[in-house]
Amino acid sequence: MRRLVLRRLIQALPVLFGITLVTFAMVHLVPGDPARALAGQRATPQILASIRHQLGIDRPLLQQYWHFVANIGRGQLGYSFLLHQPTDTLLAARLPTTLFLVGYGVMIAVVLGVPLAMISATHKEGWLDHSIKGSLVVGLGLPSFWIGLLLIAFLALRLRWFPVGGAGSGFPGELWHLFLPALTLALSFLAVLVRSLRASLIDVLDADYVSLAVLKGITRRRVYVRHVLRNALIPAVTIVGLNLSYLLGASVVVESVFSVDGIGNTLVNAVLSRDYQLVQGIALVFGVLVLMITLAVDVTQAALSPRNELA
Amino acid sequence: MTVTGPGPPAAQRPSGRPGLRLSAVLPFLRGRERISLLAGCGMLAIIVIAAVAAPVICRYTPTTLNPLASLQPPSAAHYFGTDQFGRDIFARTAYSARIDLIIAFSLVTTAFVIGTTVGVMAGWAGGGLDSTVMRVIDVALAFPFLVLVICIVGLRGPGLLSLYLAVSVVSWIFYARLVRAEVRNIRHSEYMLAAEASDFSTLRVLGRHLLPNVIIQPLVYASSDLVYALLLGASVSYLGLGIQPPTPEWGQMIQDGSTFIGAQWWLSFFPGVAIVLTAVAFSLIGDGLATIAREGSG
Repeated sequence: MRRLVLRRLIQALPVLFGITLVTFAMVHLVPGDPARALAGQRATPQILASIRHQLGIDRPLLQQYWHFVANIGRGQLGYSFLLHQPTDTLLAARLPTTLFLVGYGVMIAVVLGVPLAMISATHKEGWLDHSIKGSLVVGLGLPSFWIGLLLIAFLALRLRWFPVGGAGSGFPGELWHLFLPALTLALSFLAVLVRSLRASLIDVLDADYVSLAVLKGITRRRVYVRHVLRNALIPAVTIVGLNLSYLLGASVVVESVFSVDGIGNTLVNAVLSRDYQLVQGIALVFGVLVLMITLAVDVTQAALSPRNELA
Repeated sequence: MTVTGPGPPAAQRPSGRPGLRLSAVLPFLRGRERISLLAGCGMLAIIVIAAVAAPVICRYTPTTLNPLASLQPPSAAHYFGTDQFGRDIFARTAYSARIDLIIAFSLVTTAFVIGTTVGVMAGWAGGGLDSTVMRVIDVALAFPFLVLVICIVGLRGPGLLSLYLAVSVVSWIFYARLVRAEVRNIRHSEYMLAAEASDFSTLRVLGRHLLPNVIIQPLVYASSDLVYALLLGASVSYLGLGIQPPTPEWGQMIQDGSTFIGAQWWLSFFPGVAIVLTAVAFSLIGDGLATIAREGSG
């Protein structure tokens, strides 16, 4: 087990190097002179030169990259001109909201998805299964920003059950305020979850130990809960893990719809106001986050299934 | 397919088995996959006709302002109502289909062509090229797809060209990964060795013998990828980074209507319905093709 973790960590190093390279290169994608973009058209050459010096872009590229990596090592991710704050303090304050939102969304998706997949799998090829599968085709094509708006229109503005946006104070307040964003996120992921889960449940239902349990005369309900559901939860964890990168991406749009103060909404605002260092910092955080999640999923999977001796 | 969007895992064919040709399967279409495929094609045909014939079926143009008829609810005069400038939502929705369909198809085509080419080259050549491509794919997968696209679009400046560039930079990797795996599966099969031994040019071996056997999986994948490309284009435009006004586009229309969502729901509602219908059409076609490919090779 320890060897596996170590090996995965070593394999992650080149990817980590790649992530820093990509985020470093991002700012160099900007067409034209970033100093001029910051200072405006009428800036004097002296001002431009001083901004270039301040940004460090008057130095050789290799030196700039080294400086960038060294700063990351010190936990400094640049300065946001938009919000007048160091990017790292900004992200430290807003990252928890995003993580909470994604976790909340996954929870809602699992709570809705597991029973749906269970019904679908136990009624395989019946009318219930077909209607669930039919709704999944529609579910796959729902734009999250549109669903979010409809939820706001109906549940927040018309029925006034939930607040329109913002984040509440305290844990219950946060749960209440982030319910609609989390539900939107869950709905955008539900179709994939139920589809994959249904397939793995059908495999479990065909397994010998389930037939044995039925033959032993155990009640249907007990077989489903004790034998089928428990074994189907492992694939559910894997499906969620594999799609966390997608969910983080989707959270950007959802946060923007509900004006949630997470790093996704911050990214959109930073991009729209051309706050390059902030964009760079957030991209880096997203990259490292996904890398860590991938590692965690790999290791958990190996830990969960003793049959796959990967180490 | 875990990064552009959630998707069914690509079906794995047993190794060493030659791929199927679509023409050999079409006559045997039957059952539910045919219904799914036909329904999808039918829906898509209606949407395409609406897009092409928009000037004929709409009484208004999508950009005509009419301040006297602003924020009208759906009626016989304006089937889908009007927006805050009095523009006809039905006309705007129909005209948007043009741009949204073009974006979806061209994004997928670009990714398909680049990805297949890179995948064939990496899988065939192996060695340094292969491992370089794989490392690039690893790094690209380390970012949420949408985050990377938003960053690239944002840094280059909003617009259609930036969107194309951003998606071409990122989305080929899914095709490359798929094709590379297929190529490596059949690389050492007997018919490939025979083709190589027969003194054909490399181009002929790759084009005539290799490509037809690895192309089905990426084609099936492309048909479901259309859904994600459609949603991606609309999402980026919703965020204000894609198509710029006054060109009508579904995502942007939904953004425009979002401030009126409480009372004038029709502004955002109808373009969303159009997206869902188009996505369902793509999904049905993709599901049908996937089933056929699976049964044809299994």
